[in-house]
Amino acid sequence: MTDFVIRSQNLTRYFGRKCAVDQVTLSVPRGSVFAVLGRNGSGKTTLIRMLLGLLSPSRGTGEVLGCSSAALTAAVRSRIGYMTESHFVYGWMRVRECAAFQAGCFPRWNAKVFNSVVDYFGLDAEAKAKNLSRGERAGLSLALMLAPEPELLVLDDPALGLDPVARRALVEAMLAVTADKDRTILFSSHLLDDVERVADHVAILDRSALRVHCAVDDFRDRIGRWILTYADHPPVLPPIRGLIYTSVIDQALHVTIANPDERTQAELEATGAATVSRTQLSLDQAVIDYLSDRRQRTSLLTAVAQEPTLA
Amino acid sequence: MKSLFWKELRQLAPWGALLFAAMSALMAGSLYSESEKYYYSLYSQAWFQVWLVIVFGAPCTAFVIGVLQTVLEVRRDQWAFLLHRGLSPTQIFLTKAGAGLAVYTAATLVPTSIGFTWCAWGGIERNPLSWYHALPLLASFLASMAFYFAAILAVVWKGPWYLSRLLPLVAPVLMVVGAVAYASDVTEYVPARIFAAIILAVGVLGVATWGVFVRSGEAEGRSRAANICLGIPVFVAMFGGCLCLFAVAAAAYELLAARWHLHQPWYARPYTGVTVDRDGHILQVTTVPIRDSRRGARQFQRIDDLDEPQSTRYAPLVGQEMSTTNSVPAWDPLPMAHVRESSQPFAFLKRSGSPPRILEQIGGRAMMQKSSLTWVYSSADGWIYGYLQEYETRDDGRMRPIPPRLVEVVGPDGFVSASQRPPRRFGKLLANTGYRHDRLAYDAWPELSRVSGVAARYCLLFEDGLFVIDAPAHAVRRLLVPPAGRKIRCLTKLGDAVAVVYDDSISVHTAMPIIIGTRQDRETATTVDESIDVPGDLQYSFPIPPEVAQFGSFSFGRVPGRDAMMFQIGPDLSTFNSNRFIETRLDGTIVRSRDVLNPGIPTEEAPPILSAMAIFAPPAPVLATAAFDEFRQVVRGTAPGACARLFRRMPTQMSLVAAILIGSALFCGWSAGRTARRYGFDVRTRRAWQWTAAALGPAALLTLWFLRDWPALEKCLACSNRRPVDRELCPHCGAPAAPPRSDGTEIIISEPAHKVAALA
Amino acid sequence: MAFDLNISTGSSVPIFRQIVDQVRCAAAHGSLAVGDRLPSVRALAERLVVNHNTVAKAYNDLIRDGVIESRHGLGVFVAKRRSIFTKAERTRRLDAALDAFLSEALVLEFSNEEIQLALERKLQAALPSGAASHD
Repeated sequence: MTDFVIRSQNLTRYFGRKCAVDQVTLSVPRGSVFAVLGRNGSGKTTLIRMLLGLLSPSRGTGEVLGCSSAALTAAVRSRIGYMTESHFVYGWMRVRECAAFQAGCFPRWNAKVFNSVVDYFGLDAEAKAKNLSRGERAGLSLALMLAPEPELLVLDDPALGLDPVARRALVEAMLAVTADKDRTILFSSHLLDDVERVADHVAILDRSALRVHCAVDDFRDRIGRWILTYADHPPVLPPIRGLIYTSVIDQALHVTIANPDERTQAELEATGAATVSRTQLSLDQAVIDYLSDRRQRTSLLTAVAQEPTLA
Repeated sequence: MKSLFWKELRQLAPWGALLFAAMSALMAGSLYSESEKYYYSLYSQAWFQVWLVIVFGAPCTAFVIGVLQTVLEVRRDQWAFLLHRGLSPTQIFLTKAGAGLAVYTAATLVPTSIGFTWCAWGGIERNPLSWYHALPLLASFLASMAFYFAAILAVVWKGPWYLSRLLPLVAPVLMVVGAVAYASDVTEYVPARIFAAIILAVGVLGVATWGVFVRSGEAEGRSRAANICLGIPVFVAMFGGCLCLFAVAAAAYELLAARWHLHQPWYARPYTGVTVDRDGHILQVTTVPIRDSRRGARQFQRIDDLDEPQSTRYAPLVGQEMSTTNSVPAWDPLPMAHVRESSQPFAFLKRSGSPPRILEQIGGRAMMQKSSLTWVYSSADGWIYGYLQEYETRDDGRMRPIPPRLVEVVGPDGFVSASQRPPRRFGKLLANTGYRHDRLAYDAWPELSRVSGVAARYCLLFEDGLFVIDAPAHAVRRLLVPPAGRKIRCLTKLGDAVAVVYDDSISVHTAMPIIIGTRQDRETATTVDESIDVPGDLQYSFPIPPEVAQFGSFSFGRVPGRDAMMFQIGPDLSTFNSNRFIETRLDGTIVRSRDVLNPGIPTEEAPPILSAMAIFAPPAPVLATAAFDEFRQVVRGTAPGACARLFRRMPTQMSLVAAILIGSALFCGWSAGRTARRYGFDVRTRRAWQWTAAALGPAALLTLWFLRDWPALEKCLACSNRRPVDRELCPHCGAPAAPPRSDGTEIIISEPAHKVAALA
Repeated sequence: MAFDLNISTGSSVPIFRQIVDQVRCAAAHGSLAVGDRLPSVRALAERLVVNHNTVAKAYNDLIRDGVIESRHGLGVFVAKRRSIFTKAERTRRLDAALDAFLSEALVLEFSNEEIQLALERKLQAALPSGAASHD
């Protein structure tokens, strides 16, 4: 039986009348790298904050390391590393002071880890945090998070605003953590090639609801793209099971379908297409298709290009 | 925790230093400005300055520190960074509050202590300063801590509206206003119960702040203790708000009614009072203002002799102007003497038997004289200190005071020099002809208002005797010695005689004038001596019956030609707006006792707005008090009680009041229950709120509404009622919330273990 | 020809498949000789900056296909080649590869002779020993 470090049951949060997270039930197996994807405002941060007990859920329960999210004890909390979206650190502290401050608040503190991360990012121990660049601050945040040797890392969009080098360093640090089989990472991100490199599980939040929750490879297997060519202009498609994205490019209709099965090909052929062929889809394309608005439309590029002739 | 504490201190350090500097500057500035004002000072004026600085400085400091400690930290990521560490939120809160209060203490108490110590060790005035003087400062310091917590609440608490976050500030404001009103006059003897009340109030706010802080300001999961502790200040604010609303509504009503001539303004309405005539008959007298009378004169409208209803004796008076000076033959109220509890405000809060104040200035001061003596009585020492105030002429020709110097000390036996101390001490000082704000002195010596010249003789009433201190003659004369074991309570005028009131008896003496000062005679334009009456030969004495002695204030008079004393108590709260008349013989046996309700403004003339006040009244305490009074009156055989009597007297108005009271209770209970049901409270909580709202009225209902950030309501798909979004199950039909709509594109591969766990 | 792995993200081929394909290709082309030691899972994951599990999965697939073998405690080595596919399957795969090759070549308008020559040349270069197939 798999051991789960995070579990949530129907976790829901409203802000006023707006539902930010809608009945999310998920589980993160121990030792996995779990990516939470979704568009801006889809509820990723709210979900993470609820799991860590920083926000009360309107409904539902969360559990982290076997402890209810609403009542995380100090001991459990110290086993979780959390990096906020903005890589917050107190600006008036020096790097050295940040370490001393954090070390005093956690039962374990591995100065070697802290120093190596800080060195990796080339930080000066005497530098004031407010004078650090965004990437350097991310490094400091990362060092502060890793030094207490947490067994669960929760990173809220860690790569936001980082340059490619800092981003790569971050990914490497995450990978280094997962070298230990018992350590788990949950992170949210918009950078799909990072996700492709490091994640083995993926969850997708779309308009506050959990739509995808599976292993990355399963996700790729369950999304298929077909190219349908027609003799004349493609028709508006009838409802097709699992249809998530269609796009018209010239005379061809590109159709992305979730959970395709053996009958899908036949259904597509029934639309009157001249040819129906399946192609491979990259992970980022699959995610983009999945999160796009589910309407048949022409590509934005095509639409823009056609504008003058129409006018 | 240590590193968090240091972080908080480091973060606050610049602000703390700024606040410390501000407080110190304020303190130094006010003390320095005082150094030029010796001639103006009453006593320990410097101490008063220190007190003023802390009374206004401490709340501001506490509030600023509270806001600074949280306003930056509540931003989402910073709050997460603060809270997400190997410490429990409670530990984080305690550390934060510890650091904040440490900085607050440093910024306020250190300058205050320095200022106080400086005053105590000489400073600019060498007045006797006792350590008791530190207590009001301490009270202000402690009370202001409430502002610290209120500030954190205002920032962290997610109230239903932005303005409602400020509600917890009302209670600290009231606390500090109370501390100002209390401690500015009843300075030194701030009793332990005041400190207990302050600490309790600060503790309540502290617990509320803790509960709000550890839940990041959200209502969900807030502990019951924290909810109650948050409810108390919110209720206080709501109740105060209700009263303010009522006052505004009443004022608006009065203004509009006067403008549209709906009814006469309150001062033009008839008023009915109760009094006693020279025959010992109880009269109920109704008077109305005389229209267009500039002097505010009133005329008789109706006079009822309650002891002899058929009497027509006073019939000729109706329609005549009421006057106390030019006598209308038949109108002859019995001269009464008044005994007051105390001249001190909040006297009921004091430990009984405590002196009114520890230092009291005796005698006026000579403005801009070359030199003058100031006399200060210290109740801690029981002596009177004489300070010589001298002036020097500065280069610019202006006079400049130089620090006063102790030259003499006075005891009951006479004057001694500054280096010595008298052998015996005075008791508690009751009244003093030198201090012009002393109500007890004006009760004892109404003639005092005529004295205008500077007096060098002071008449002082102590618990253990009446003394005249003749400063120029260096003489102390004792005019009255109480009988052994008796303590004087006060002195009062009964007609032309002087009555000395002891705790359990009263002796009436002939008046003996003594010269106390001078006044300007307008006609002759000369200065003539002015005297006051002090007790002379004893005429008669009589005991105060225990039925009277239990009340702090009462009036008494002797019915002429009869061996009878008439006591009148009330009308006030202690008698439920009744006049209680008790007639005794001179030996103390009670002849009769009668309670007469004070009608005040008669029913038919009273505006309905008075009844409307019942809307905001807390029903349970009002009804409980009425019931208790009824019970007590029945037990004591004086039934019916005040309420029953009020009902009999003004049935329409009282029925209206009762109906409003009960209606308000029912409505509040129902409304609280409706809110609770609508938001799916559990049964026990719902019952608790229903009863609380019914018992405490609209303020409690408003408290319920303001206490939490209410969840939105959504239509339930199962029963189409509106359900709160924060309940697992619909409170109306018990159905769980509908899951997000599925469209077949979900890719959810849950592992079996998870499914089992989810179902469990 | 040194063995070098390169992966690209954002491709329609999953990373683990890219590793499998490249190792398989290198083994087939001889740039990895039988008995050559491959980097450990950890080392390769670090070098490629991908999840360990991905590399482990790729190695598992390769071991299953018989391309490499794991010697306990020593590491992962290129295995002596043996076919794990049936004759029919091998034929099918070869056909598929030839179809793609031929369609491309014909589109480029090469003659039959030119195509045969080019194929010969390639074979010579890839398999200098001439042992194109041993069974």
